[in-house]
Amino acid sequence: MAQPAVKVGPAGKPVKRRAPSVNWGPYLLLLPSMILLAAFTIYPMLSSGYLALFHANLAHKEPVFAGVENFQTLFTSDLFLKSLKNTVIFALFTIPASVLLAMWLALQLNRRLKSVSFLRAAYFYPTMLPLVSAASVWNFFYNPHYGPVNLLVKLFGGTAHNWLGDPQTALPAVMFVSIWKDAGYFMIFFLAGLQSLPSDVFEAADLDGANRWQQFWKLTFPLLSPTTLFVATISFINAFKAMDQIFVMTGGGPENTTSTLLFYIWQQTFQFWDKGMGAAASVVLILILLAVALFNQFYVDKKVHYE
Amino acid sequence: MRSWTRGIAAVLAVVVLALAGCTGSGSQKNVELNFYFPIAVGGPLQAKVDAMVTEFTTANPNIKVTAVYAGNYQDTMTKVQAAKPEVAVLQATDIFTLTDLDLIVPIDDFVKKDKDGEAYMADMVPAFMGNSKLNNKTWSVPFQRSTVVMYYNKDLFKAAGLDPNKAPANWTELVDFGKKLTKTDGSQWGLEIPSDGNPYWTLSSLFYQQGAKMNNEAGTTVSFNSAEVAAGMEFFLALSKTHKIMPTGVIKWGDVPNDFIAGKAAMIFHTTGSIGAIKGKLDPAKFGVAPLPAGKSFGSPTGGGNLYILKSTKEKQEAAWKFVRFLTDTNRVAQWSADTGYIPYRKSAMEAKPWKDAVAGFAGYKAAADALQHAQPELATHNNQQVLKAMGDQLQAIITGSKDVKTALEQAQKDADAILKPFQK
Repeated sequence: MAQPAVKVGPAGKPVKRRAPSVNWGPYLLLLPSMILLAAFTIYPMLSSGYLALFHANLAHKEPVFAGVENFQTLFTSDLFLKSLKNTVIFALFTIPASVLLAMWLALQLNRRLKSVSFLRAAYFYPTMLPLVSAASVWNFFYNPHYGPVNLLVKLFGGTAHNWLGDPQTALPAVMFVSIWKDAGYFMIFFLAGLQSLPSDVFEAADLDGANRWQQFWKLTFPLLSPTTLFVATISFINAFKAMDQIFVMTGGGPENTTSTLLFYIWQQTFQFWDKGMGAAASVVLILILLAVALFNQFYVDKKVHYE
Repeated sequence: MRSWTRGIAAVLAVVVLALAGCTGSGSQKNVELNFYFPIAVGGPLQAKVDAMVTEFTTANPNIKVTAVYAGNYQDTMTKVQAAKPEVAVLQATDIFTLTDLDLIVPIDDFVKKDKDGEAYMADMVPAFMGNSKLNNKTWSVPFQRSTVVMYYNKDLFKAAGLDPNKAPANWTELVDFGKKLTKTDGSQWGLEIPSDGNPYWTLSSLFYQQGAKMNNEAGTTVSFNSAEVAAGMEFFLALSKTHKIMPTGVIKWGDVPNDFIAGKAAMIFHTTGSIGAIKGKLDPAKFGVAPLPAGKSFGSPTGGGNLYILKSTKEKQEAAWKFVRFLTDTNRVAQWSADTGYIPYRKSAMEAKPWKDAVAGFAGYKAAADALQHAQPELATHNNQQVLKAMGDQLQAIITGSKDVKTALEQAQKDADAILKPFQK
């Protein structure tokens, strides 16, 4: 653990601070990334915010100022509300499921077994597949006639089901693919986290007679919290980025049960050419992400144990 | 530092020379065209397009065409909007969107200037020109056009005691044959009609078979809640619920040809564009292609892409027209159709050798072309994609059973009316 550091001069006295003079060096070094950030993040955000105030669609050859009408339309649109709800459900299920599964996998594989490297590679494998190919493969897995998922179901005496074609199961089926894809990736972070844990505290716990569950709950879990926060953040971003698998597997259907916020934005902008509505929905997405980022920054981060 | 400045000087010199080169070639009246096209069916189509482009540039050395494969129709539309090429293949039904976006030019003036212009336009198959006219102008010519047909498995027909050379001619026979071809354990279905994504295109064939008319010519009104559409949907539902010859729920577009090839589905509705892909995996002697069975009448929607000329300089537009005429030359149309399974859209191409040879090799091609006699132009309105989705969402609700036919179609009508309202001025 780091010692509290106080800067001490050669004679043992605290060093006097120099008079504050602006040092431009660091800003100069930051400049390239600031330019990129401004051009590709800040500017598009602001221009979306501006465009959201206009009717800019096929019925208007020149954009017409609309005030907040696009937002009013959004929050009375069944499709938008459904997409918002789907995104929230997607996040609520995929984040805990993929993070906990990854943690569990890492705990199981963080030991000396002969098969360990094979198993690690096997669980990590889905990460290396491009999402679009993985989604195509799962399209085949979910095929109602000859898909392996139904073959498995039938083997255990169930009846074949049209997973992606049933509004009840389409979203869970898509979420499952995301969890499957992410868990192996997150497992790597947890493995790294586990291996950097100090062994002395566990030895001390052993001597004190703490059982495995107590060791996990009182030591491993809190000590891993920086990794957990990091992984949960990535998982959150993935949930809001979910697009490729939806595109390939369901196209937002059936009955829009797999239409997410991002899919909605794409559809409004590039399928319906309604740029005003697409921009308005983007603003909502940005606000949600901003709120979560602030919550992370000012609340969750303080609760996490850093060494 | 010295070498650094010298480097910049060198780069500048190259840029200046390159710019000089550009203006130099410009003065020789060379025209550069960008041609964006999608690929919507299986097979090595890109190579075939590239070959045609090379042939064109060899014959017209002053016109340089760059062919860009741009994904599916949707992707191509997005890229065309951003990149503004001079020529593009886009859906025939995009005519309203393209004119509303003010991206394309009508072709009438080019036709007038050509000596054989009138004969050229008269040679087009009328069903495929149905989506080209708006405000008394012509905005596109066909390029890769298709319609919905029935594919049936002759071996399975024989096994069920049916004549392997006779596809069902009407809805009654369709149900009859279907029952004989369905195995109750679910290992073989009599019929599959794709219904995922937006099921409108395939299902509209059933509406046309009831005599439905879907939209007005100006593209400002639709009739989704008509008795004809309702009858078509009721029949579709009965196929799986009452007659039990088709799986229930949503059936994926991409799965249907695979199920057919695997013998899991004895009859399928699919695009003529799939002939090539199915023929590649299934012995052509073992399956047949036929026009869809008739309800009150025969009927199927046309589909596919047309060639559009986009706004650019006059010089480029004229070069683009030259390129369009080259691509739609009788023999090339026949060859392109024989290569792909798209239907020849020029009457003369149906008599040309490449197509005749293809028909001699596989009779299904002829059946596909015959299906055209009964084909209607597909739904085309302003805000076409949004109107299609309004209908598609409700059709999905009917298929999954969450809404009854009447309620869903009324909702579709209401939504479509709202979407089209700004265009009804």
